[in-house]
Amino acid sequence: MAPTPRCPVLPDEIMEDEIFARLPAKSVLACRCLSRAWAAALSSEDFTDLYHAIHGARPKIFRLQDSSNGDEEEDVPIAVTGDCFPHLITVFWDEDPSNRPMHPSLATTHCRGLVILEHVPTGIHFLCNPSTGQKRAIPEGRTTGCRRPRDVMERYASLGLGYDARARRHKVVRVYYRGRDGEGRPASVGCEVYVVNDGDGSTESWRPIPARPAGWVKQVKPSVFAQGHVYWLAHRTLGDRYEEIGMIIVSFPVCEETFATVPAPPGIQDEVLRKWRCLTELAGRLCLFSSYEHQYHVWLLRGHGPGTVWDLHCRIIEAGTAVNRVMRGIPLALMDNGRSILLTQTDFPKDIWAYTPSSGDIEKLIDLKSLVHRNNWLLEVAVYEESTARLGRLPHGDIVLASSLSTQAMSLVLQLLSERTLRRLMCVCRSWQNMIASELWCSEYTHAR
Amino acid sequence: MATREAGKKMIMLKSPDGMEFEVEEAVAMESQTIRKMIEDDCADTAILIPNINSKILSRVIEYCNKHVPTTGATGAAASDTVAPAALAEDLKIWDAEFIKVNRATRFNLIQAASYLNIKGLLDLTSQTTIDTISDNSLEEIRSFLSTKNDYLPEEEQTIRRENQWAFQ
Repeated sequence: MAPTPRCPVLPDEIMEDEIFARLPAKSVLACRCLSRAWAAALSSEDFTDLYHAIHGARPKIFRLQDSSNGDEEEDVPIAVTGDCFPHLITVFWDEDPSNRPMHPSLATTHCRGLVILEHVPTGIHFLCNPSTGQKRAIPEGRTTGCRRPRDVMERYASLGLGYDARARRHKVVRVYYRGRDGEGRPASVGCEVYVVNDGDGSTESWRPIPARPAGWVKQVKPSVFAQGHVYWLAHRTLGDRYEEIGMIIVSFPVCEETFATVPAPPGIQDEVLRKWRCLTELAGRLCLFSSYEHQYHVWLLRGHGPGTVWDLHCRIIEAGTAVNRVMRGIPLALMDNGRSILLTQTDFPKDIWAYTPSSGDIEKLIDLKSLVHRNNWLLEVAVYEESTARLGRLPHGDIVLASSLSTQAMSLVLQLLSERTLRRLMCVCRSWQNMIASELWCSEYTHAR
Repeated sequence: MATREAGKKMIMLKSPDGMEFEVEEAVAMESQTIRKMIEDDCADTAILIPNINSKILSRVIEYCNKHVPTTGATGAAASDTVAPAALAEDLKIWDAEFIKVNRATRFNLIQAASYLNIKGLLDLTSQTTIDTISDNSLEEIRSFLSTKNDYLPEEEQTIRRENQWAFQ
């Protein structure tokens, strides 16, 4: 009998870098169950970084809807351009113990694969990865003071979601207001930070930080993450009847945990900023979209810190009625190398449009109404990035790394070696490299010394 | 093969089995790896491409020749001026024909595209494999990868639970 020719196999590095890194996030998660070595490789932070490098520039779209009548809903991703951009998915909410209708609301824009959603009836915030569907409640932060029912100020707090590239962790920053002054306005502001996946889950909690924003951040609109910073629209003072005076943009560098302000683009008046603007992220940059008397401006922030500049991406003056209708919304993403912008309505979106400023063309890409069961409300659509970002610690690191007898023995031997030797041994093979580089093993190694 | 025109700079690529390929610099620069060599002035008269045999290298060059942005008389990229949709459609058909190869050749092409850093070729060649992994069961993927399942049964259950979102 002729021997069966051995099937050609791709080297592991090529598999990881070129194949797994291009798979949908759900498939990557499934492939963690292939073997210990693949579980370690596909859970590593290096792989997460590589995955982000590939998928970060390919935004996708998800929708949030009232799911009280969602039994006939089907989770069918819809390709719009036939290319990688964009797909639509629905984030499903698990059964609600309180049996109340569920109104998810977007609290932040996406940040490296995660978003924060608020579960409106309860006020509980969830971290969510729209590409895998994983959700996790964020612990409750400090009290905002007055706890009278229906008090406007009761929940005067705003969350921001950012990624600390140094610590390689997502961070949630919460600005909250407490107390009341003589006029019934909040008296003071506090700030705290919550590091995602820091510790084993039981020790995760909010940590107060001394920095304070120079104003009152808007809590109704989602905060925005771009280029290492969380941004909010804010106002310097709060007038009578909560009138907002002196609009500013507040920034929070996620690594440094401080606050700064960003000047508004030239020519944007306070009134425009207060009423006719929205802050979002476009192509990885902070975007200020202002619409005022049928003039629309899309500004993109270049860089950050003191040398920051606003670039006018496009300006539309005396736009036609079709444009006016859509422009009352928010920009979602840039397409075709920045040549066109995707837009949708802010509240109860009905459709997604592509607008090309150079030609003035406007084209309806998705009819959102046809996708939603008629008894449901489509609440919001937002952009996310396909991501393997997980919520919770490394999936059973002990199983992945150390439970086979030979690996356990090897792990013990390696712990006796010097750090320098270890660096060299990382080149022996992939599973050694994964073991030595793993966080769990590092902490054991440090402990053993 | 593109016709050689006067004034176009040519680059010699050598495969480890001793074959030499003369290509236009612009074509060779479809590879980001070669582009970097040329820009850093590391490229002499000939560039040795390790690990890629002449059969695969000739196919890679064929791909780059087809995909290099053609320049018109004015020097502007034609893809921006002449019916980009028709051009893209033509390329698509050509790509589909190009990728009709056996698995071993496809894997060799993936490795070559990865080493030479040619994004388009990598996307084209890896898509079939990506589809295979997305659409098959764990057991099938294991045999595809020649990977042994080294979990104990209860461990596999735990790992599956950890990643339950992937199986919904």
